[in-house]
Amino acid sequence: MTQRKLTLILSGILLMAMTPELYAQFNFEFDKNYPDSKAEAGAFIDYFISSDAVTVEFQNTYLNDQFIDNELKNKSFDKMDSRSTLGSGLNGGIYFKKQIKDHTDKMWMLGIKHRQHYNSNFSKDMFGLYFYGNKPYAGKTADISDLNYLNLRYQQFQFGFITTKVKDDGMWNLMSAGSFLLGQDYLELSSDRGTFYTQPDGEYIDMDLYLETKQSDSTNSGFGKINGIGASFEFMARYTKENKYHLQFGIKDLGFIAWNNKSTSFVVDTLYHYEGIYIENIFDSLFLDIKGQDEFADGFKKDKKDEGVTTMIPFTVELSYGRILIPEKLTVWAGGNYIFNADYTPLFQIWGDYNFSTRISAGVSVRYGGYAELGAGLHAGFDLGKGYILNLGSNYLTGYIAPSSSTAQAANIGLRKKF
Amino acid sequence: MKYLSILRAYLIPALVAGGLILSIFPSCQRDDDQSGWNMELLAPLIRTSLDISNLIDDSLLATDPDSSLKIVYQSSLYDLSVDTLVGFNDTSVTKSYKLDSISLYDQTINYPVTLGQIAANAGIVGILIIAQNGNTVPIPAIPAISSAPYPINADTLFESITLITGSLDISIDNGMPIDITNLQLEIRNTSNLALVATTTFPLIPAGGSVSQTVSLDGKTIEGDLTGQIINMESPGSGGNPVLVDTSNALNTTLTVYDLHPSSATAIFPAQDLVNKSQEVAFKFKNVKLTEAEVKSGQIKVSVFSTLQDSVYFTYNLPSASLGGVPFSVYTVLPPAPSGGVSSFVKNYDMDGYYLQLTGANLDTFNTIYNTIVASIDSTGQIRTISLDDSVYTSLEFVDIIPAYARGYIGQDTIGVGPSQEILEVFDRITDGSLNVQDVTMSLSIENKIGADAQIKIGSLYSVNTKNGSQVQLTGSALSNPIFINRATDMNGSPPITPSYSQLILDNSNSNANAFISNLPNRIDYEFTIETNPNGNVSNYNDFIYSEELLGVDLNVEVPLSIIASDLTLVDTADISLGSADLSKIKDGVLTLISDNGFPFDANIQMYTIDVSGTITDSLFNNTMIAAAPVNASLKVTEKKRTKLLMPINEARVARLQNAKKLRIITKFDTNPTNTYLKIYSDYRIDFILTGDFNYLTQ
Repeated sequence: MTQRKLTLILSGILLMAMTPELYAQFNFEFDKNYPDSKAEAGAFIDYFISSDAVTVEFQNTYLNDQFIDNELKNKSFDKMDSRSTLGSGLNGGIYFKKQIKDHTDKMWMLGIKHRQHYNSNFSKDMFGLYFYGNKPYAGKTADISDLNYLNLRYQQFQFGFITTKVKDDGMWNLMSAGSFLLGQDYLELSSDRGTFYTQPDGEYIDMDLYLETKQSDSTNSGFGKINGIGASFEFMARYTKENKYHLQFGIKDLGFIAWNNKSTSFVVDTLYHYEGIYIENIFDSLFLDIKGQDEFADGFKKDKKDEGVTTMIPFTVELSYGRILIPEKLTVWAGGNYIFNADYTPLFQIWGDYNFSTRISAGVSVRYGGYAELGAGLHAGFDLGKGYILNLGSNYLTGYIAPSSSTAQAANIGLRKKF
Repeated sequence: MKYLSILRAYLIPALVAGGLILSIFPSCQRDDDQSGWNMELLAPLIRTSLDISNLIDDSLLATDPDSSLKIVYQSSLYDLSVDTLVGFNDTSVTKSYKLDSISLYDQTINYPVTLGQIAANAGIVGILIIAQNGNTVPIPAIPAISSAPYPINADTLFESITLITGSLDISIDNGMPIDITNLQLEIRNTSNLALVATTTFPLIPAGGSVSQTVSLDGKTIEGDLTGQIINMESPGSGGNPVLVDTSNALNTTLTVYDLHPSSATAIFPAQDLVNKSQEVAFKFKNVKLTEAEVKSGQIKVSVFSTLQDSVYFTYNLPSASLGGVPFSVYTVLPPAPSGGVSSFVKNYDMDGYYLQLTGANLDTFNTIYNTIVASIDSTGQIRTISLDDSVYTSLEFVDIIPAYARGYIGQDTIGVGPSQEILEVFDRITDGSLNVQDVTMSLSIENKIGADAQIKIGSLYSVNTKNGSQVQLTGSALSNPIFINRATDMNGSPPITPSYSQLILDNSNSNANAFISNLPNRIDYEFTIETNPNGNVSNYNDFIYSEELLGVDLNVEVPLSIIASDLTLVDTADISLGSADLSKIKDGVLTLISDNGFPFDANIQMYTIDVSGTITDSLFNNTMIAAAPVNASLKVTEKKRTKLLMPINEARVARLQNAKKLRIITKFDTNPTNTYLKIYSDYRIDFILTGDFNYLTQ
């Protein structure tokens, strides 16, 4: 096997070890700097928060628990159509992979990851009621229907194999991995009917709502808590025509989590007409037992059950094509992905990777779709020497440059050490 | 490559650490006042609706045919209690019964004195007689001889008897072949040789018998007696040969009978020691009852005995019966210890007992009679009883309340008052004036007693303690007493047909309007009830049933056709806003939306009062709620909406939450003014309190 071919195989294997969404921003040309490497350990983290209307500034203010003033609300509210989406993801972990002895074309890999997925689809009126209150809607019927909300956190223990087949001037990379999942938190809301009306003088409020809710044990919430177990599967295939192109297809996170029997599900199905607390006789004692928010909400819950629920986790399908314009220097990619079980629109993206030297590379990307609309980013890679390779970047660099007008932010960073 | 070294040394660790922190950002919340966001909330808070029943208890309201309302107030001024007329005082009868008499068994003792015994004391003649025993020979004359004392034992029946009266028959059968002459016999108590009896028989013919009776009055006889023939002679057989048999005897028979001891230690026969009948009179004032039925009460029977024998005690009360069965107590007192007493004490319920109160001969009043029997049984054992022994009885009638009584209830005057009747009708009104039209008051008397009566009104005052004013009811209606006819029953049994009397008081015969317009919260009154003003016209057929007596009611009927001027209602209600955190309400306005359906202008203000009783806030900026408009018939045509505003801020919210009471002061003025306006049953005012405020959510 020639040195070049060996390097090609290693690069392919290493590339496949990364998640489909990440690999595009990782430059694996640096692996050619370590032709004798047979193992690698790394840590990585990436996140995104993106919306088609909610600005990055709003997102950050909300997440940082700072005061949200009306100007901040208005910038998001003004961007909204009748419906909006907001999603986020967090993916971080460590991994280790090693060549199988006497098989230079095969590797096994282990990984531990923290995964988090947030998905929401809501009406403009829902946002308005929640952040402005109901007074601006006095005399109007606010639409709060078709709400989707998912908040999912779990930890992933992954084990997989990577294999490479070279034939003539083409090469197949195949990766498959299975994961054991530890469910941490889960909350899912969905409504298909919902209106909210406030009488102009505030004399009464009408609410018509059908809402289904499923939730893991809320009393055992937080990082490290286990409220369910599950499994997922990951697969990716890639074909590379030497010095010509790359074509790859991948499925990620196809799996489920079975939440334990302390989970709760209930339905809110109500036509609620509220006229205030009726006092039989004002001249009698006036005891107003004003309910707390939770107690008030409990009053609407019906079919409340404490039992285990099983949920499919959002999974991603991706297809991309990379054209090698200048071998070992410049590759341009086009592709897209789609997340099932989420309010995610198909995402299309174009990006390019340019290797300035054997130790420095960089690229740009433009994408449209997903939870957001248009976004642009940069990514770069550095071979720091002694086997240390750093990759970092952002798919929505605009979110940091113009947070008050941009609606998406994302960043990733990865550090790996080759042995 | 210097920049690469910097990256590796500082930037990379910082980014990795930052990323890890970021990974848990959803659960990382800052506790900072400058967090969250403001919401403009508009919501109904409280809703209530007031009609006239919220101001005046709806039990006091009645609706006229035209749907106008009137206050109908009725209050019981006086209810005659049965005790007032017929009070059975607790009555007790205590008696100590000495024993009437003591009876003892009659007793007969036979005692033979043989010829041989007599001959043994007859010297030589006696020796000759004894020597001829079995021979037929002439028996010579026997000179005066006496016998040795011999015991007579009666101790199987008594040990000692001290007699008041008693008799002893001494009978002698002469079984010897010779006459006995001048026989003198003595019987003495062995212990002290006291003479019990002595007698002399001049002749007792051979084969014949003689008898004498000796009085034992005043004697004490013991069970151990000694008899002795003091003297005895015989003329012999007169020379005629006769069979000499020394076993032939003089048979002496002693019989005691008609024994009436003052004390005895003996075996007593069964006998009644006490058997008495007596009458017991209940004491009443001017009441003469012939019969009654007990609603509740008890009779306490106490018996004490000094007899050292079981006493069988029977108490009969024939005048009291339940279901036709006379009251009776039977018990057995155990023998009293020497020098002590035995006792029996028990209470018996008399509920439901019928009492015949005409005595044993059915010719008197208020009187029952009873019998007491104390007896002993024959036990075969020796006991000591004397006429000094006694049976002590106590009969107490306790808390007797009649369910029914008949007779003559008597002529009595019952004073009622001075008393006060609290009126809550106008309780909430603290000030202002209220003019009412066509007030009608009445005193109504329902008499369910079978006796005539009459009521004299002493005084009747309308008292308004809030402003200190009082108005006395005056007028021609009060000048004469109210005569009350007797009720009737059905030949001595229910049902009762009561009699009704009424004194109408209105503006034509009294100052009733002024009386009510004084807005009294108290009525002071005083009157008298006189029973049987014409005497015993029923010939002892007055009756009472305890549940059916005489009641005096005050009735007030006030049509709500009124003129109100600054009529001030004050009410203080407890208030609690619960434990909800209202501190997130920053500012806003509470709006009281009122839809007034009354033809009143209402000036309303609410005050919060804290735990120390201090008023902490007055809530409304504007306070006037406009009256609903009326048509030509002076009837409300539509409700009038008014909004009262209450700006709030954090301080006011805190005052509301800390408030313990809410004082509501409302002043009413009828509109149009100086016109009597009727209040109809469908009049109401609706309130909605809405909140329009900025709410900081976090």
